[in-house]
Amino acid sequence: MTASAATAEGAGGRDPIVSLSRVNKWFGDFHAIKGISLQVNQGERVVICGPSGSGKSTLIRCINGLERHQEGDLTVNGTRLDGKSASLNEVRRKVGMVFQHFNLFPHMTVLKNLTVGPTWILGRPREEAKETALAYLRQVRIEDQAYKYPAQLSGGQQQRVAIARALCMKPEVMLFDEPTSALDPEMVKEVLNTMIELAGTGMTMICVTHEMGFAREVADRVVFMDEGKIAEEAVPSEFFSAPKSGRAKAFLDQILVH
Amino acid sequence: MQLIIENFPLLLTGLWHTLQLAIVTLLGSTVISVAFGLMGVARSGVLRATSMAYVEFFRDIPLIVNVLFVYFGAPLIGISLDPFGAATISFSLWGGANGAEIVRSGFNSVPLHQERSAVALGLKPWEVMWYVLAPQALLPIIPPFTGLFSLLIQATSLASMVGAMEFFRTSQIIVERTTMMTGYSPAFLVYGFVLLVYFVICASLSALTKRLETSLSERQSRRGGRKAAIPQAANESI
Repeated sequence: MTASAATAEGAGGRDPIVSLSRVNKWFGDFHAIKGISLQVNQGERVVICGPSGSGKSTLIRCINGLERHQEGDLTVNGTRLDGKSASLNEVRRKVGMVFQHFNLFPHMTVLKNLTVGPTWILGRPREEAKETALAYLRQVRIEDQAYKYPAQLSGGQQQRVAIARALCMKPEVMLFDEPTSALDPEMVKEVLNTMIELAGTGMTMICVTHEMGFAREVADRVVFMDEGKIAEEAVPSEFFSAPKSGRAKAFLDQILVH
Repeated sequence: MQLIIENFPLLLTGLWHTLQLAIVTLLGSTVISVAFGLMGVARSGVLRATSMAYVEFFRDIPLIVNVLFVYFGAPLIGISLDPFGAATISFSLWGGANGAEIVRSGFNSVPLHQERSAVALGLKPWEVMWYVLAPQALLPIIPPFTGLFSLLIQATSLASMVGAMEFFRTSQIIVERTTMMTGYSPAFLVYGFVLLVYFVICASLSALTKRLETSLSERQSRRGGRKAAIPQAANESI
């Protein structure tokens, strides 16, 4: 469907593109991430879930260096995050991130939001960046809003713009940090559909989400976190029908009731 | 009125000096404000503490003491300052301290997630600052900064305390001279005129920035954006 699809499928192999090995992270005295090891292969879709405070958002932020881990190895697309800014820049260029609160820049048009990264960071010519941006806006079905400002769009539309903005950087991996939890219920679906379509292009995705329907439909693997550790890791069918740990069972009971 | 016309050249010289004082002071204050304001939102604790110490120090001493201190203190460390230099330096230090606080709160009013997403996009720190944070901080900064400019223009009259021949000082001279020569004091008339001139200068500055502010916030509301919260005006006391 798009250029990024071609590269992801072209690579085709099963090399780990994101690799964590015994990663530890503290906030002061609080041990947020406790020795987590996780491999995500190229083209794989991983859903991370777990109760709030279990460290899932922190984990995903460590992957693009928004939070710095203190111990362990974290490698993304062959670059080891060693705390130096060269590695940070390299990783952030390859990793797209979508936040809970969209975080579009309010003083720029939608189109400008999409072209800042490619023109300033990748040094693409303005025209080319604009064409790429419009192509991705078409992909998330919001092309007609290109010249509006973010505040003039609905939450669902803003989040789709945020996804397009991340895609414009032609990332190797997309991270989603609870992309639908700040949305009105009727807008959740349009964003999830966009994400499902993205999964169809072969993009490597790591999603922190409580949308279990989404997990069931597109995830290759569900990672259940609890108290800073990975409590359970399974394919969705297994995880939902027969969770092994008691914590996961309790969590699923709670979340599926609503 | 006759008196004012007769002394017009002297008053004009004074006004010219006042304007020079004001322009240099406003420029100096702005530079210091931006520098220390940005230090105030820096990641480094040392920079933040430095900025805070500077701001607290100069906000907590009366401006007039500051002026006298710089004028009489500078020779002690081997620098000899003329009244103009001493006045502009001390005004800029004071204005910079108050302005730094305004700049800092302007940047603090931009939500943290804006910085996060800019960083996640891969922008370098100065790009995050210049392209993402600064444009959003500008709107809440302008109104209190205008207030500060107005205060600083008024404060230039304090330069007369160290003997600078500025507008207020020249009017004082006219009052004293006329009183000595004729025996009656034209203070009410002359100072009334002085008041009017300061008022006109500051009012036109306010009107100018009001227009800038309205056009900026209109642009913002056309974008459907939130109206920026306007932080407290600068410290009013001189």
